[in-house]
Amino acid sequence: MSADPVRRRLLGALGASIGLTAAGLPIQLSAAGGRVVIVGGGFGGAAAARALRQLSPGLDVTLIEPSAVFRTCPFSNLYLGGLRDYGSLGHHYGYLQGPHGIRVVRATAVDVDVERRRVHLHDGGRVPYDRLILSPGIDMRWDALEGYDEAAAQRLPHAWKAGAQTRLLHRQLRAMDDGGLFVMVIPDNPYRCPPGPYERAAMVAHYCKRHKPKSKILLLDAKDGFSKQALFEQGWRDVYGDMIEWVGFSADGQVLRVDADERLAETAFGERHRAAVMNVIPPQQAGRIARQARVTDSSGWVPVKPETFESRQVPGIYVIGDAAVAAPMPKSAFCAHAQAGVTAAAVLASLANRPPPSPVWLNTCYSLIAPDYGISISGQYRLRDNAIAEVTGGISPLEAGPGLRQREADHARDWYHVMTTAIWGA
Amino acid sequence: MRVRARGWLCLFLACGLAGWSCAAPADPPVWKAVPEVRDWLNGAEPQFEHLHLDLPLVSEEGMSVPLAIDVTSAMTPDDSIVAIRVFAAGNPQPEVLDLTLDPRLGRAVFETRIRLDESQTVLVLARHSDGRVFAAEQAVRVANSGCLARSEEAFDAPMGEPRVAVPDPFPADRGHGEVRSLILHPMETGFREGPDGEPLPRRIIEDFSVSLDGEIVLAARFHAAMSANPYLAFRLAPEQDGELVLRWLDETGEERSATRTVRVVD
Repeated sequence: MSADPVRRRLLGALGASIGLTAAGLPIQLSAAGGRVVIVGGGFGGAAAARALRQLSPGLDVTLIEPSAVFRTCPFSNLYLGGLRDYGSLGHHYGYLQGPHGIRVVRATAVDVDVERRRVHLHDGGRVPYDRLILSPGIDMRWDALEGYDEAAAQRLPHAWKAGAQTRLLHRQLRAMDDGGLFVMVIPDNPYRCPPGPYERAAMVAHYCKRHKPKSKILLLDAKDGFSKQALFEQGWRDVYGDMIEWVGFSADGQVLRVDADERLAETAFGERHRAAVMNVIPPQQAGRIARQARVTDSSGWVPVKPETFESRQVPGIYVIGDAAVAAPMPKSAFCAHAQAGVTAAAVLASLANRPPPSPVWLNTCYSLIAPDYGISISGQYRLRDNAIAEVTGGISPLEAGPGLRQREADHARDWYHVMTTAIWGA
Repeated sequence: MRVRARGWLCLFLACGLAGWSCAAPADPPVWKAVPEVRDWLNGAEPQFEHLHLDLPLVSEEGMSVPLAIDVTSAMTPDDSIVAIRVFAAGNPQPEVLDLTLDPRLGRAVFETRIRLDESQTVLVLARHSDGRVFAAEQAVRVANSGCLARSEEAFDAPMGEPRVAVPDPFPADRGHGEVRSLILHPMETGFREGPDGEPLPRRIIEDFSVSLDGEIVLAARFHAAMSANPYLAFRLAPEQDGELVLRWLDETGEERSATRTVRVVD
């Protein structure tokens, strides 16, 4: 690792955002062209649309997305902590539609007619495609945790899709009495954003330290370990003392049942925890349209060919982002964006009857412990023996002064700005 | 495989490279290829039926892979499952877990967490009281993610206090309920090196037993491929109120036990 690994990783991040040519491009598209339809306008789908038009400016690209404004999960924890306002999480599709020439259809994709290669919309509309990219994100598994269904989520928010749920949790936290117990229920792997719950704990603690200093935060986890664990535990201790308590699987942290009316969580060995505010992050699966298109397997996620992210089950459908099984790549916004660039190139190669370029993917996950205290983990991924392999990686050092933590916090904010501008900006 | 204790990330990266290559269809079946399996089968040919496995298709953390086993059986004295074996052929030692069952369990249903060093096929065998052997297997791709790698491991932690959850009460008429057990223990495999480069001595819990009113209803042998802090959930169908004793014995001779009162609905 070089003398300043953090700086090097940040530059890598910026490079990935700006230069989508990293994967052996540019590709000259044959005159045949083709219609590419993308479902889902998040970090994967919107980035794929941008990349396709960037690589092949005349290409017919349609993006199907029900929301006028996309709210990002990244930095939604900062909103809970009071570091950002809700509006700053929103990004609209105006630039994609205008200057970038992408047809944005504001609708919900409800089904895919694989035979006739058409996407069915909620309003009866049909959108034909030659290649389809699904970037549907996640759905909650409402059957996976006893007592936790859509109605219960109105009382015990997951806030794991940014939007109304995030605002609900924000309101509940603001309304909590000083001294209240904030309980977070955390699932086993795989789930969206592996370090996300632990950053959220820090951001809730940041808010409580200033406004509700007698409150406690209890994390009930179905796992015995988590991403950047030593760094998080050090940061929690240094900044928030004993405000945050983490209980892993072996210490009876696995929650088997929740009671929404009582705001109660019951663990595998019978502990009952009653909360003032309870944030339940349930087990998850690929977004609904992936299941409708029959690209999911028994795990609920989508197996893909690693070099292109084309479905292993349905030819012509590519699936990127959290819905895909991309392990060892984590389910992160950065990964979705990296997959978008590689898959855009693969789709163009496929339309031109060429082999796909050799892929490289990057990821960096930043987490904030406090406004001036950031940590990160990053990885670079390539194909090895026809599977995705992590070829290099780096993690913030445990022994570091406040200068590095401050710089990483700044890098996190730079990352968010660069990434969202590259995807939704002018 | 010898791995430095602080070099887990490197192991994880190396494991990821194994990819899909484990499931080549031309390979002989695990039950024929692994000597320990052949020994246990002792000439019997397993039937791939009546046994259901639940394992992730892809595990991002091979140190703790949830495994559920469900063998269809009435568990009556003359029609029951008497023994179950779990094998992971891609591990340094293929044995994972041996179970000896009594009909008083009511169901041959178990949940546990196991270690898988790399992508491989997990095989479970169940011996019926009439001598037949049922089997099920599943390929698991282990794609350990550096993002999820654990940064610390306890080496010398003593055996902790056990945790046991027992239904209260159990349903009547031989209805079964789930008993869950967990004990804090490092389950040091003996395959790793410590920070000084010396091999860390193996230290695992080898024997686990469950007695109902003094009679053993479940006996287990844990191997090094059981996850740290071994977890085992099983069913029990008591006919009347009684006393349940769970006992763990590690290979240093240290022992822990837990006693729970069993109540059956009137």
